[in-house]
Amino acid sequence: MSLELEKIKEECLKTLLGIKNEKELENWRVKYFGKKGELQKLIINLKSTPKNERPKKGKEINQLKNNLFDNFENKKREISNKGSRTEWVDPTLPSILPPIGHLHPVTLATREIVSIFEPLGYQRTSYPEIEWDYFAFEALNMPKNHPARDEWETFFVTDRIVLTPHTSSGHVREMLKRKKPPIKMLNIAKCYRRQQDISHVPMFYQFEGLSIDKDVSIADLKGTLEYFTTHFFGPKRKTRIRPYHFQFTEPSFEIDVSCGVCGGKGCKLCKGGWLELGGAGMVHPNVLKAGNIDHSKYSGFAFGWGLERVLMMRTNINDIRLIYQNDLRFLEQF
Amino acid sequence: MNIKFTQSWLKEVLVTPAKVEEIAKGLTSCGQVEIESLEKKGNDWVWQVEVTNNRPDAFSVLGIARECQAILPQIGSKARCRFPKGIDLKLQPEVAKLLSLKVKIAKKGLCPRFTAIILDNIKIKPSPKKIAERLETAGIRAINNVVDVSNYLMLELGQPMHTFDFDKIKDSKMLLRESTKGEKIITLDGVERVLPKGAIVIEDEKRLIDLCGIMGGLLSEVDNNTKRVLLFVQTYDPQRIRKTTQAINHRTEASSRFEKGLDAENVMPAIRRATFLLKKHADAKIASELIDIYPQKYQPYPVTLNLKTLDTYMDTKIPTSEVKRILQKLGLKVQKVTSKVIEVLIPSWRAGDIQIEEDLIEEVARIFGYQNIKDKLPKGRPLEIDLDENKIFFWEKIVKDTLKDWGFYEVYSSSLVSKDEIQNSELLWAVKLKNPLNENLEYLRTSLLPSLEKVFEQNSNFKKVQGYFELSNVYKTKGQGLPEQKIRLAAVTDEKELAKAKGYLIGLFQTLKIDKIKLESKKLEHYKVSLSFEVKANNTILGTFGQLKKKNQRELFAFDLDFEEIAKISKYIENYKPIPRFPTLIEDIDIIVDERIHVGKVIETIFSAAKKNIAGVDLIDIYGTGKIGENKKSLTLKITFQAKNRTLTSREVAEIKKEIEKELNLRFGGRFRGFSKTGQQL
Repeated sequence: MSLELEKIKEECLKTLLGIKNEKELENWRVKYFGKKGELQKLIINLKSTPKNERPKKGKEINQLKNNLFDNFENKKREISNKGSRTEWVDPTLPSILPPIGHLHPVTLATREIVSIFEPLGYQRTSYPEIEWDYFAFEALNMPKNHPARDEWETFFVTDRIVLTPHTSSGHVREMLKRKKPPIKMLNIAKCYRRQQDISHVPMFYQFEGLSIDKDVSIADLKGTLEYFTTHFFGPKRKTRIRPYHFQFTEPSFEIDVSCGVCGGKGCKLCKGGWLELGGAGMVHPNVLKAGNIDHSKYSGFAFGWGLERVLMMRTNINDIRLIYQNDLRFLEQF
Repeated sequence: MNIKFTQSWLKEVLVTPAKVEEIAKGLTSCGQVEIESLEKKGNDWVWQVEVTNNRPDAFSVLGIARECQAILPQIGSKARCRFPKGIDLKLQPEVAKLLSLKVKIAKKGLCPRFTAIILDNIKIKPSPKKIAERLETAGIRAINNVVDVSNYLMLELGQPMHTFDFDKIKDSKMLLRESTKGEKIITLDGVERVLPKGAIVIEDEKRLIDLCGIMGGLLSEVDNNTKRVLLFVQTYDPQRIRKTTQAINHRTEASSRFEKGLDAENVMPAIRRATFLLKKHADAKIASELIDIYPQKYQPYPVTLNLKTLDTYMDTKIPTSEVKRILQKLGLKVQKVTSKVIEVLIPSWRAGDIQIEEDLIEEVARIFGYQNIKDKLPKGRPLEIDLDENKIFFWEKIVKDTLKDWGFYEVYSSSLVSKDEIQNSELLWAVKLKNPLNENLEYLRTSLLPSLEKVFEQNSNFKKVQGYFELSNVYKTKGQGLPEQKIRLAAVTDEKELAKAKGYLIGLFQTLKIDKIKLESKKLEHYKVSLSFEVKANNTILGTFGQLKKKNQRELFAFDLDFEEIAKISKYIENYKPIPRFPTLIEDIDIIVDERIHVGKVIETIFSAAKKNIAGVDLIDIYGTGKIGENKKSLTLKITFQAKNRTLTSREVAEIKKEIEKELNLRFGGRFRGFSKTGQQL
């Protein structure tokens, strides 16, 4: 800053400090900020400054103006506070908070999922976590010794009792309980598999939808999936279904959701613009049969996905193990 | 199953103008494969694809080509499979003196199709560059021109095969049989394998020379001096292969294919082409008749597709001509077409996978393209509500929100715990896993308290937290049936004062509108003997409360409640009771009693003495030391006098006070220091 400006700044602040009432303050304002004030003069004088120095000086004058105006505003507030009888307060004092608790992100995700499916008529249910292998496998078109059973790294309690490796164990239980369609089950529950790494934990959550009625179609399934993803991930996200294979659905699909990072163009985090969400399919006739439902009259679809997976896709949690470590610094973020 | 191959190899068996990107797009949206990666390598591309387990016919370059043949026309590119050279080679002996092999299969079903042929004049040398490179791309080490041909055909046609050094087979004989438990064989990798009962093996003269479908035996290995080769192509009972690989914990490229069940009709093209390649690259001469043991020839069977069912699934009408075209492109032979149904014959390579109508719907739908099915939301029909189940979810939300609002943190801990977290008295009935991942995850939780204590400990160096809670199942063995799985609500806090810690419990019950809560002293697991209570409401046990046994210098209060029971008796909207209209009179009472008298009893006594003429009794102050005397305490209680149906007169109040005084004196022998008027009459 030039010497000239420094001098004006010093003078301004010095005189401002001595001001005691509104009248003096107004005089001060006119003297410096008025149409013919000192600052205005500086701007007029700019014309006589060499051309190449003008931008720099102009900028400096502006800065000085802003700085002085802030000081003026503070003084104004100070005077008006003195004048009124209101107590002087400091709103920037750190708050004294009430105790603030936190719900676990699994609870939050569960609530959100329920709130998305409820308007579609789904009802939340729960079924045993420790289950007969009949409901976990046999009733789902996987007889004893079926190789498909190997795909689940199942924990056994006895030869016939397992820790449910998926929420699909609820399918036939729900059919037997309801006896007759319509069925619209939403099962959100703990599952267990013998695996542990950055994307697997031995205990995890799945959420599963099962919808059985007359004339239920692949179009219904697609619409439902799209409805979920746009509500859970946002209206710009798209879904697609690809052929896959599960024993308990036919046809079977894998569901992808468009990548939120690149918007579907393809990036490092996704596969050509898509992220894998989970499995789905039309309920296999043998499963309907196990649930005493007349396949000639009814059809249905089912989908079952990892709850942590959708949670991680939404929140940038990059290691599934964090979710069950109960670290305070993790929990208080939710 | 994951397979890797190059684009140039695919193009050898697939004639199409489609570019690599188009093929990738088609396979992704319509194929039962997932593209794991597609990378440029020189002038070529390397595919890595995951084929779904129901499609062992597509675990090969030819299989992928066959998928493309059906898919590509649907997205606008012509495509046709072209079988590789030699699959129709005539297997006629080329030497004057024929060799032979005596084969015996011990049990029907072990080997649905057995073929073998002896080749003479073998010149062992490295494979041509093309073959070696393609194997290496797929992750298989090139060994020599004979062994490599067998691996090459496994990748190309999906049919694993084996080559023996014919001269190492004792007595030129083979017995294909089940293994007995504990039999041993040294496989090609030099490892001695101890077999379970039921593996498929080959014995020559009292020696095991092959662990069928998994890995060959070292005894009959083809080496640099091999002159005569037995080319060996089979299909095996998939279940036995799977069981054996599990038992010996060893999977190979071959076993991963055999255990899914292979197409017996693919065996002949495979042995023909293998012979063709061995003649070409190893100067082989056919030196025996073909051995082909194939007792049950494959018969194509019909499956009928009801067009109306198809339309229901697709929610649209697909022209019958298009359905027919798709099925034919997939290699299914259309036998009959009417306005209602299409009947097809299932070819050998899709046997097993296509069995019922829905399987055909899947085939048509995926080739038609799921992207071409319009989304819609299902129409709704109201459901019956399961009230009991709903209650659990309803109250779950309320208790979680309540505790959270009081500053508690919700946690989700592992249900799987180590033996340390199970009390000795619980070991008999705790649920234990047969195959735990490790010993830290061996049992299922019997209580939530040890987990919560751990969470407290783990976070103790950070900021102070009101407490932690969890709502989760605990488990108990129940005879031969399913274990008992009961949902509990437990919380811990490091609050020092009993009254405040208890406040969380009682406050929660007030929120749930459960009254008449009683704490009864009882010796319980987890709790300190002096501070261990059973929580009851109307004689129903609702859970436990107390101070946990001290660990790591930390004193924690906790409660642990039966949530199912609580959900049953909690109330949401209560009946309205009229707001009391009559004035209250508030007075304090001071009384000195023995230190060990329960304040609760004193309050109860005041209530009962006043015969419904008081609205509340609150403890204002309590102190115990100093002037009042040895083993005594002084209580100051605020009493609010109020009747439901009238204004109490001062005479009435005086009488009630007298009655209270008398009762307190009688019950507790307390020194009574009288009333003082503190409140005003309203």
